Amino acid sequence: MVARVITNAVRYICILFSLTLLLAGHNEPGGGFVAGAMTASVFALLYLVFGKDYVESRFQTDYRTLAVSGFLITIFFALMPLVLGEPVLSSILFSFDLPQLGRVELASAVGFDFGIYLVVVGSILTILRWSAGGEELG
Amino acid sequence: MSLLAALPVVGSLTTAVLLLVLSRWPRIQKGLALGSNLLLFSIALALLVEVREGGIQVHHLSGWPPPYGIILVADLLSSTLLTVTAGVFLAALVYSLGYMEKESLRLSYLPLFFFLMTGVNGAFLTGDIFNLFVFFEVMLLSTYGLLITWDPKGLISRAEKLEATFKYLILNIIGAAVMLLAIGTLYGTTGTLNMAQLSVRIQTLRAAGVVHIDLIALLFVAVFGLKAAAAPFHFWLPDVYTSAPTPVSAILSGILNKVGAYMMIRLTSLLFVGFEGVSEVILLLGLGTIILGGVMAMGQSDIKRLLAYSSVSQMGFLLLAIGLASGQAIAAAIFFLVSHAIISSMLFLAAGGVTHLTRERSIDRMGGLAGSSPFLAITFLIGIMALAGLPPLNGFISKLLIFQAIIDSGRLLYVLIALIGAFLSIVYNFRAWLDTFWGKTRRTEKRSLSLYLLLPVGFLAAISLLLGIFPEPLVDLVSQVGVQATTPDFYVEAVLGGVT
Repeated sequence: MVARVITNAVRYICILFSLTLLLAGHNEPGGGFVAGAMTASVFALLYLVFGKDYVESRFQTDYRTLAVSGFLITIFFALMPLVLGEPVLSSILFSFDLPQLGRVELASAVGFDFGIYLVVVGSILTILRWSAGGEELG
Repeated sequence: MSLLAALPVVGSLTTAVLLLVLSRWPRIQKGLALGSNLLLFSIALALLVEVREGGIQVHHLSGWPPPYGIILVADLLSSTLLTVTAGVFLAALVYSLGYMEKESLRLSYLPLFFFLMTGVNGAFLTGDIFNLFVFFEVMLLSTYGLLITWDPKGLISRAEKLEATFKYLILNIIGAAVMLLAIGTLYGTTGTLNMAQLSVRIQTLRAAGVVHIDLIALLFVAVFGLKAAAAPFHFWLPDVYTSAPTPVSAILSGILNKVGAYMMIRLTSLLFVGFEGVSEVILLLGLGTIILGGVMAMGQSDIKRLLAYSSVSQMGFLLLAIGLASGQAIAAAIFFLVSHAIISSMLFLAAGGVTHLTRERSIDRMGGLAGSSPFLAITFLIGIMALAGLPPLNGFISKLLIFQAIIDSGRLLYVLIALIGAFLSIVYNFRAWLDTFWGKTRRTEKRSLSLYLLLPVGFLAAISLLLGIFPEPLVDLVSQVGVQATTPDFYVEAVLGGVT
């Protein structure tokens, strides 16, 4: 009971904090890996406290696909600079004007970090589920 | 700045991920794996040609100039090894398509295969010693996965497989910890991780009398000795090679061993140049490895285990040449490395064919296979003749070059010990061949080998024969490699361009 209440309270905070880490990553401490590990730990907690059936009735995500698509995003952002004539893995700063918000700068490192985030979340959860559930690989 | 130097790593990584995506479509997946392995082979060849004509190629990742950023450096040594790697991987891949079980091939084997290639290519190319650690880990993690992949037909029990993998896992975790310790101490001492800058600073610090650099070098020798399976660190190898699926054993003995040896070359000829103590240790390791591997191979009856010990013994010759550290000796080492990569992977693939036909691993219970499969008999004979160092095969020339280098260095006792090792290798290799292919026919079951299994063996055997009959192009290449690898100034100049 206590565990359920605390988990319910903590999960939003943790996920929000992990998103902060993800977005802050390229010029402050944080980044895709830490954020991913944190999000995965929230899911692990949900699995532990509420059980597999409950969690999987709410999120019907194939974690393997998540990891793979993260990988693809990472590779896309790693190779994108090549097209623009920069070395592999360069971070490219896009800046544009948005109405109401003013000037916004977006680095391609954010995309790269997001890919890493998905890879970490996806692979940790895949491993957890395989080792816990005894399911056939698919 | 060259893009070509980054492609072997980026290409194999991209392929690995795409193979994961395509796991629902096995046909496309196989096609992609073959296609991109061929492409990687041609990239490696193009890189070799480019480096030979245009000098050392350097790629600065994300455009950060060294010594701050991570760099990939392709010199003659690494691009030669990249080409061999791509070739051996290609042979092993074709073999796997016919050999491995369909389900594991689709789900984990093919992606892991290319992750392994990423690790190996990265380890050969990186110019940053911490990055090397990362690529080693990529390599090892994928190897663990490949090792426990289920062999078809259950020739190897699950318990045996898990025991070997566990041993390998624990040893490599210890190895990784020691390597991290060595890198950390090195960084604390010199303040840099860039290999070119390390090369310069280590010389300066040593001239100033800093003593513990020798100890760091010895730590590195232990770590790379573990990877290369040098004598006191060889004990994991026979179990792992025996229990791995055949194409994986071929890659382990053909390529992964050589990554350790490659780093030993970098140790004696780039990072710790002129450290006589370190070279002497490597020489002694080499001698011990030759004798120990040879004696152990004499007593084996399991065909893959015999090949595993013979591969240990052959690594000894390689270490002997590396320990001498002269330009001539390094050239001999590279020739040996290239030919052993081809021969040993070919022998493992052929041995896999033999066990596939006979359902038997012990050579005591085999015999008379020459009648039913002359192709395997001939290729296996080519392999063991090359391994034993008989003409007209590439193994003969590689041993000749190594003996020449030892004699020129004036260490006659070492020549004697190496000769004993070479003699042992003739005995155990021929015993394996005679017991397997000659004599009374033990099994009469009619089975045949698919083209997937025969093609790679034939391909590697043909290369081995070609390099034995026309060795001049490769000898030319390796002597250039020897000169370039043992002159650290070339590397330092190409990477730092005057900044130290």
